[in-house]
Amino acid sequence: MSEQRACSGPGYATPADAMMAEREKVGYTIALYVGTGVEEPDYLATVDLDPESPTYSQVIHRLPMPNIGDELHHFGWNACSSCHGDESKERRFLIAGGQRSGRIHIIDTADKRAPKMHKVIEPEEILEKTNLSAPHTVHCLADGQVMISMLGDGKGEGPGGFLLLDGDFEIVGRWEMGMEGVDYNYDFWYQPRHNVMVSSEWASPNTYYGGFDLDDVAAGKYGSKIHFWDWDKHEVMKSIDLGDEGKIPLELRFQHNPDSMHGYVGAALSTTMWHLFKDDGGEWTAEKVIDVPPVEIEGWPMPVPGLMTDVLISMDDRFVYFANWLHGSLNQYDITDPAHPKLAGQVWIGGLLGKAPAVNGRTVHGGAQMIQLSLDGKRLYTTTSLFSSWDNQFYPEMATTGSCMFKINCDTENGGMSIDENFLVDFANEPAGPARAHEMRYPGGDTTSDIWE
Amino acid sequence: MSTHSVSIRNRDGRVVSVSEDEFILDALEDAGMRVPFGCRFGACLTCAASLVEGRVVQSGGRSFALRPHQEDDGYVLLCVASPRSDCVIEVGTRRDLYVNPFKHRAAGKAATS
Repeated sequence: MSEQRACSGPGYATPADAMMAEREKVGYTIALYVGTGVEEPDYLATVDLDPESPTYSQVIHRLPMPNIGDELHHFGWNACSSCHGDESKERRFLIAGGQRSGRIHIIDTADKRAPKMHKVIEPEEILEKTNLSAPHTVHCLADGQVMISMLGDGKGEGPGGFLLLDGDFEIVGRWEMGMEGVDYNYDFWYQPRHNVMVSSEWASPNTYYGGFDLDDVAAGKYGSKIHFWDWDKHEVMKSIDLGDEGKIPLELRFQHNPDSMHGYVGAALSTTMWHLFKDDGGEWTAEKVIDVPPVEIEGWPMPVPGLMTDVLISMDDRFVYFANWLHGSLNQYDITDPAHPKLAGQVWIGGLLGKAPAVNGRTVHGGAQMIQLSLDGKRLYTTTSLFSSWDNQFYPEMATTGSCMFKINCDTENGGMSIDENFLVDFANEPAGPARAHEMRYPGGDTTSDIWE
Repeated sequence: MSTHSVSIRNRDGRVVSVSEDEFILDALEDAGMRVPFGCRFGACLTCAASLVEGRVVQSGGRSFALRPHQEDDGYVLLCVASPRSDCVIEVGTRRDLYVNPFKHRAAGKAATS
């Protein structure tokens, strides 16, 4: 089943339909030069994911941004399954924000292998109209608008807000009625059948841009709250402070089943996973369900947390996956019982613990970090860079050796993961010099794009 | 408005003339040099350079992200810095600004105290 059908709009009617989609043939990842010493623009790399192709597991196209210094980071589609009923919509444009520049790039993927720049929204226009900076998560909405979490204002101070673009990528304004009670902004995910959106907290851009400092955590400059929003009213209806066990909550995912009331958020610094659900009294609740302890390294004054960064849920809602970037682990938990995740699989890629210093013959300076799963749940891709200044703190060699992309084969029947020995995209060998690869997406949709109305 | 000579020690001592009312980063770029930068408004450390000699003011941006101990170590943010005398600077990615807080906690604390 291909994504586009004559009788419908983008995406798939149901998550089950998405799982039967054609296998991904190419993927996109952003690659950046900020903080490497290479003074070149960041770019969108097209990676060949078709094992039958002679260029399998290679970068086959590069679209450079028009400026240097953006720090491309997360990106998303202009349309997904939330617009499935609208024949006039098409999943064609990628929206890629510059974390540092505040510039937003609209990229046309009409030619899937060789995307082109379609439009650039300059930071000055965004600041003038909304006083927002530091674009992060991109989700498309059912009405054809695009919503982007923005982490700062014109001075790089939190809490930022949410930017709305219309279907022609013109600035509409801010989505939220207000940011009262919200200290910082980061990721968001919405589940419209339950009239809820959830957002999480990183820090003010002028705190995290320059690197991670424990003194900033002690000073309250990093977030620990999640916010449940009334999706129709654009107002916070409940905030939960996860406390010392939930420091820096980042990636948020609801289950794909639009009727599900279960979601998860990973608290990066505490390295804990929290189950989000509506309790028997109809109250949104967060309960800690996974706790990865920090690890002592000989000669280091402080134990090292795993730093739970990226999180995703398989399209069948059976497994949650997450990366611990400082430990270097990728983890698969069975969430058949959402309140009691069970470890089902684990692999190690890089990390500071010395468990997998080299993978597929490539020395890894970095750790498993961003993850993207195929729609059928069988192929998990990962890249090893987090954020340029944080890379330079924890894995300084990455600036000169580049990051990598690996593939992990996932057992969807019994659980379990294994690193594919025949797949390695090595960003050390890029034409302009070693680059940092970050978030990944596929043309036909993926497990962190689509939301069903 | 008076101008000053800014010499970039690790780019063969190249000298660029910079006015007191412009930012050093802009002047270097206008002179055709490519140096690292990120936000362009003082909120990140991507354009941090070492001020070896001379005096600058860094109040022209919308933000200022250098920590006091980094300022004490002679770092300046070129995107918000304007010269007040002839200067000698070193540009490039300043990896020494980025330390692993779990590995170098004691050293980091000493530097800030």
